[in-house]
Amino acid sequence: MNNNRRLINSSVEIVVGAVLLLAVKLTGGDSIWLGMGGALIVVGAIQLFLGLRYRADAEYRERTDTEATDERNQFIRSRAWVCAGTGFVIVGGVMTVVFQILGRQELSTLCGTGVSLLVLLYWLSYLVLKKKY
Amino acid sequence: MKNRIEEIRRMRGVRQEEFAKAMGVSRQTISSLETGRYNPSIFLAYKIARYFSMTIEEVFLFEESEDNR
Repeated sequence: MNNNRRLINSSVEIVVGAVLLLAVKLTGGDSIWLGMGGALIVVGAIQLFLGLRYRADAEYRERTDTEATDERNQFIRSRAWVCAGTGFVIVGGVMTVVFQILGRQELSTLCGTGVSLLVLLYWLSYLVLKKKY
Repeated sequence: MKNRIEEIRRMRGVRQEEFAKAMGVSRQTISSLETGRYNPSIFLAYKIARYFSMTIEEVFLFEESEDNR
């Protein structure tokens, strides 16, 4: 991502987070919005710090750019997604059966749907990529 | 796939950091290549061979029985 865009995005995240916090404070809204606002501020602040460091520190900039384009890193990232996807399908499949046995129909359906959706997305991606390569 | 990157690099007196910078990859990638934990793409293999003014076959030793990655 372009660094200027990252700086803008992180600033927007901080502002949205602050607005959420303020809105909850003023209206006494749900605490979930409070958590979301706080999380947005923290994530935005970290992104902003990294973006400013990228701009100021030439060595960090070079290291970050190399890491982003490094082919071994890209290979590792792809493999990590493969592992995460496989893990999700296995855990989701097991949980579907376990919840079914425990009589938790809704949770079982939720897990089963999640796994089915992932498998469907895999097949769609496969079909698209098969045409591309 | 086995390779002679470390041997050639040492012979030429090039440091890993210097070599990594010239290849546009991280030092860890060079280290992984040298130990054979990672096989490079054809582009990187070509770039490495060209850096040493050698052919890919002279740097990378292909064995028929090897699995890909």
